[in-house]
Formats: sequence, C-alpha cells, structure tokens
Amino acid sequence: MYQKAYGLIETLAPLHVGATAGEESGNLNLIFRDQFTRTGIVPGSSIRGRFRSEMYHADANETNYWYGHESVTGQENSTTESLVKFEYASIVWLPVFCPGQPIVWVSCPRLLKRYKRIAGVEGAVPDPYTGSSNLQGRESGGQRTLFFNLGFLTIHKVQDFTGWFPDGIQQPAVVVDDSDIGMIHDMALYRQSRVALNKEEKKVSEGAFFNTEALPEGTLMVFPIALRKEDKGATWNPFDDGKEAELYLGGLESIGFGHCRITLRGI
Amino acid sequence: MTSTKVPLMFRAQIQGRCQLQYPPSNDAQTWAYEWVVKASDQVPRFGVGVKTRPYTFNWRFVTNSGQDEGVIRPVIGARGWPFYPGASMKGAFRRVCPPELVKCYCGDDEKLSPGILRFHGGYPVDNRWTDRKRLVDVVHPQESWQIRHESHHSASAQISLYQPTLAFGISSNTVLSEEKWAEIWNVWERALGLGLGSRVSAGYGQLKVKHENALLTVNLKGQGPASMLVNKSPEFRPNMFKAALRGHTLRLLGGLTDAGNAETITKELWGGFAERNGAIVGKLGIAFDARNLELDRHGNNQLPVYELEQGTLSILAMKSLEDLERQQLAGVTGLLVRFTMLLGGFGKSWRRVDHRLFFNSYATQPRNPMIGCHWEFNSVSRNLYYPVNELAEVTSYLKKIRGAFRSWLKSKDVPIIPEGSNWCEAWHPDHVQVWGRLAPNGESQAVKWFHGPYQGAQTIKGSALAGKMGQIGRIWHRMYPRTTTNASGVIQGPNGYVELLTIFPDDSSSTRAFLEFLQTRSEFEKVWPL
Repeated sequence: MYQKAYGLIETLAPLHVGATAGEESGNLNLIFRDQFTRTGIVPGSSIRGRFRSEMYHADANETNYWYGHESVTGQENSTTESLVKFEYASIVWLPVFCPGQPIVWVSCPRLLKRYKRIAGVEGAVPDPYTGSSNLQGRESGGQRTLFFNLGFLTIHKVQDFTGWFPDGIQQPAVVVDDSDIGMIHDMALYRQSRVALNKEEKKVSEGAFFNTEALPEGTLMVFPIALRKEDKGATWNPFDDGKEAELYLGGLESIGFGHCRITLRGI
Repeated sequence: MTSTKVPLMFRAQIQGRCQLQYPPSNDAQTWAYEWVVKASDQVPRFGVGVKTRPYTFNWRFVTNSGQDEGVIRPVIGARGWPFYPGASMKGAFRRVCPPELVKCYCGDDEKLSPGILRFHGGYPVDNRWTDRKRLVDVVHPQESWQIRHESHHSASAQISLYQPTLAFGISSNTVLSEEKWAEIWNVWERALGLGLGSRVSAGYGQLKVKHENALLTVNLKGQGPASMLVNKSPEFRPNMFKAALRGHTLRLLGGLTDAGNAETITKELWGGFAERNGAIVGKLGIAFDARNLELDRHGNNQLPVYELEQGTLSILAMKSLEDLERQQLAGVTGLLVRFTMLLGGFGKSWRRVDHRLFFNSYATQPRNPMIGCHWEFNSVSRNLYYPVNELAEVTSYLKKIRGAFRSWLKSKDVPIIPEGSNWCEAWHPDHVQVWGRLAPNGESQAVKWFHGPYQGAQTIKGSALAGKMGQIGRIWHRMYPRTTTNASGVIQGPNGYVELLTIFPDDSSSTRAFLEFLQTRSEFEKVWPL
C-alpha cells in the first residue's frame, strides 16, 4: 500500500532545529535530540512543513492533495489524509574537526542501523571502533589512535566504508559505540556565544547574550518517506527540477543557518 | 598517549596547560599550528542562489568567538575554517540600513515578521589565512610606561587574520532586480566602511572602502623601524597611529587638568576600560591604508624597517555625532595630528630622528641598531604643515594648540587645574621645554649628542635624560620639514628642516648642565614655554 522512499540531507550551513529556550531555560538554544543517542534530529513535522510550503507557493490545490486538506471551521469531514508521510531525520555521519587531527566523520551502530533499514544498505553494520580505510591517525606500537575532546579513541579494525556513504565517496570516518556518540556529538556541534550590539555604538547591549548550537555543515542525515499509492497514478514531485533541491530547514535562517541540500531517493 | 598530546584548543587557559595570551609561553604559536595543520584545504563555497562579493581587509581582522576567557580568538566554523558569522553580518547591515528599508530587508521587530534577506556570513576565499606566522598577533599597550614612566608593561597575544579576503554571502527569499541588489550591496559597503569585528578603532577590520565617517584624512609618508611579531617576522602595524594620537591626547590634557579628568576625556575620545563598568566605546578611531609599502632589514641584527611612500590616515567618528561636536572633534584631531608631526613621529623609536637620514655615518655601521623614524605629509596634505618663517612661530603654534585644548575642555565644563597632572610627560610649562633651531642645510646638530659628548667630556648619552634600554628618556628629537610662506601667503617648500628638542627635565645635575649648554653655547633657542 505504501511506497517506501527516503530523503538525504546534507547541511551546507549550520542547521538549528530546536525549541528556542524551551527545554532548557536561560539563554541556551538547544537543538532537538534523539532521546537514545542524544544526537541531533530534524522532526518529521519540520520537514513536512518545509516541503508543504515549497509546493504551496506553486499550487495550493496540489498541496492539499498531497499533504492533506486542513480542517475548515464549521464543515464536517473537511480534512483529508496526507498521501506523503515523513519520519524524523537522524544523523548518518557527523563531521568532527579536531585541531592537530584530521576531520573525521563519526557515526554509531544505532544510527547506521537506521540508515541501513531506510536506505537498504547491504552488509552488516560495522562494529564500534572500526575506522574507514582512508582514516589517518597517530600510529604508535601498531595501534592507530584518534584524539577526541574528552578522550582518545583506539581504532580496532579498518574497513571500506564506501557503501555507507550516500554519495558513494568514502570520507575519513569512524564508527564509535552507541554510548559514546552523544558525547562526541556534543563536542562537534557548532556552538557559539552570541551578543547583540547596541544600535548606536559598538558595545554589547545589556542582557543581549545567548548561546546557540547547531549541527555543523557537512552533516549527513536521512529520513524515511512513505507515499500512499493512489489509483490516479499522479506522481509526487516536490521540487521544480528533479529530485534534488537546496532548501532552508529550521530556524535562524536570516543569519545563514539551515541551508541544506536535500536529495530524494525511491520516488 | 599522555595529556601533553592533547591539542591546546581543548586545554584550560591556566598556567601549565595552555597560556595562549602569554607570548613567552609560545603556546599561541603551537595553538595556531595545531589549528591550521589539519584544517580542510577545501575553500568553503556558498550554496546556489547566494550572491557573494569578496572584500580585502587593509590590515588585520579580529573577531572574538568568546570561547576562551581572557583570550581573543576567531570564530572557527566547519572543517576548521575561520569565518565572520551571518548573525554579525546582519547586525552590521541593520545598523546602517536606511530606516525605510530595514523592515523589508531585515524583518520587523514589532510584528515579528521576517525580512527577505539571509546573511550567510563571510568566508576566506583562499587558504592564505593559514600562514601561521601571521595568525599570532601581539598587542602591547605602553601608555602607562611611556607617559607616566611606570615600569609595568607587557604584551599579550591574540589570534587575528592578516589581510584576509573574505567573500560575504547574501541571498533573498524573493527574486530581486539588479537595482535592488545594487542597493543591498551599497548598504553592505556602508557597513564595511565602519569596520567589522573588534578593535576597529585601532585599525583592525578596516577595508579599502569609502569611510563616510571620516573626520579628517591625511596623506603621509614615512620610514622607520618596523614592529616584529613573536616569531620575528616584520609587520607594519597601523594601530601605532592610534597609539601616538591617544598618547598625545593624554599628554596635552594632563597638562591642563588633573589625571582623572585627563584620562576620562581621553577614554571618551579613544575608548578604553572603565574598570568595573566594562569598556567605553570611544568617539574616534583610525583607518590606515598603506600603498607602496616596503619592508626591509637593517644592519647585522637584521632589524626590520619599513619605507612607506604613500599612506592615507583617516580619523573616523565611531559614533554618530551632532554637527557641533563633529566640528569640534575634527578640529581637535587636526591639532593632534599636527602636534605629532611637529614634535615626534609614529611607531617605534618615534622620539628620535631617523639616523639613516640625519646621522648616516652611524646608520651605515652594520653593528649599529636602527634608530628613529621620519614622517612627512605628502603633497596633497602639505597645507597641514605649520609654516616656519621664523623660529618664534613655533612658539605661537604650541600656544595655539594648548589654548585650543583649554577652550575645548572649558566648553565641556571640565575644570582647568593650573598645576595639571603629575605625569612625567604631562604637557605643562613646568614640566616641558621645547628648544629649536633652523636647519636650512638639512643637517642635525643634536643627533650626535645622543651618541657622544656634546661639549668637552660632558654627555647625556645613557643618562636619565636621553634614556637607555629599558628606560624611557625625557627628550624627543625631531627634524620637522620646514615650509615657509611668501609675501602673498602662498606656502613654499618643504625646504630644509626645523630641528626641535622636546625636554621633560629631571632635577639631575647632568640635565641642568645640558640645559645650560643649550642656553649659552648652542644654536638652539628655547621656544616653549616663553
């Protein structure tokens, strides 16, 4: 009944999808996280909202057909079911820059398992502490070691990860344990202290200080899409030209956040 | 693996772990190395539909990421590249954007509606920024040492980008005409004219664009010893202009009112720290655009020297000023620039004349260090010279400058304190004397007195008056290019020099003997105070 498809997100700028000062009070703007791995996610509703509004500008009727008709006050049964459904996007690979070390894309079995299920990757999910075949590390005593902020990481084995990268190009990468990814993720996030300056002079305004975090650019994410098959045979075509588009997701768009490349597969 | 292998970027800023700010630790160098060595060599690119324009900074560019307390280091983005955040870009844009366009471009605060523009930030266009010899920038405040002759002064390191070219990206969520885009870039260039990032009043973050906020623009040329970075590479540092002007502001005010008032007014003008109350944003800043600049080495010690054929010094208003205040400040800064040019110079060794020009036999000895600098106005700014038909005119210029500062203070209701401050170099008739002579053939008489006896066995060499290594002397020496006016008041020259000695006498017998010598046995005449 459903056609399975999926979308890939590559962040071209930092991506901030969060509940502004919601979960955490004070001046800390956190991103949404998956409750098990504590890694960043983009909720399905956010993806859906963006897709819907992209189409809405072109054709409102078409939008209602694919994404469902909103309820009209006073009219019974005015809503319709959405034919296209989105699940949240999770990280596949997260780039980590460490001074004095290579840039390394990091993932963990749980995240890769989800990617495997969605994208149908062949082969077993790599074990924790497996490095890609092109990963550089500091070698001593026959051991390859990577430095990460709060500890060192010893690579136990090496494997070709080409199939685990959506574009088929292997980056220097490492798979860590599910229990470690949260900490490494926290360290790799794009984090900034921000201030607002006075309008009249270049001086920090009173109280205008906050911290914000975002997924770094170069992050690869995946989200499943379900398309309900209809008799009409119409095709869902969310983007003007083909199956790839650059869109803005999340917040802080006006200051350069949220610029993403989205690729759809299987539609 | 041991903790010593932890990259410095992840270490605490404490002694024994990482002291980025403290130059002798050499940590800043290591930090910079660890940063850039593995940063991606791939230049960041903007996405489709983002309009970009590259701009090159005149000198250094510094933004503070706020990530380490007590140290200024840049915002580092993905894959290790430094950048200028989109949020900062939007702030700078918004500030200069005409009020009628702000809501459309940047959003409406009241209705919480978004603007049409997106600011993507600025990224280096190539990897020249990774020259780590240049990343570590040493700042060395010397005010209390030079003016009050206090002993404590120390340098601190910060990380800044040297003459980077950044491409700034803006996109719009609606399609805009070419004219609209031209208007947007025009607003952005006005924002650039005010400087980006931190320390803009000292010449950081300035670009080769029109400075709409310039109070005064001066064309200069000069030569002298160049500054050195920790790793000994030479650099011509425009912040020396602000240092000189700020220093003379303090000296002149310190001769008219007490130390507290003099410092307050100086901070009001040039900015500074207000202890518990944070920082004060000054009203004035500088931008310097150097053209035809050459850096070279001098003598056995290979000390770096610069030769600048053409430079433009702009004194900028860093805040919006009322017309009256604008006029007053343009006047005050004009006097400061002329005062600096009359009696000293800019940059290192500004208390001495350039020995290559005025004591060639000394300068050409390879063992001797490079001493002194020499600055002149270029022909465009020639009218800024004080014409000296007779030596007595110098007296009236100095009177005029001090008088102008006095009436400016009065207009601000700052009390005039007759005895002034007690600083060593306060510009007060009890503290300072200026002696001069005309040197039509261009030869300096006094320069030799700093290197040998001036009469018999009497010498000021190495004394408290002339100073030595680690101790600031109490005498300035300057060969001021002499212009004259003809009968119809037209300026002639420069032709020859006016040789000037500015002395802050101590009460030692050698200083008294030297002043006596000047009075009775030399060609010099006392020109101030009279």
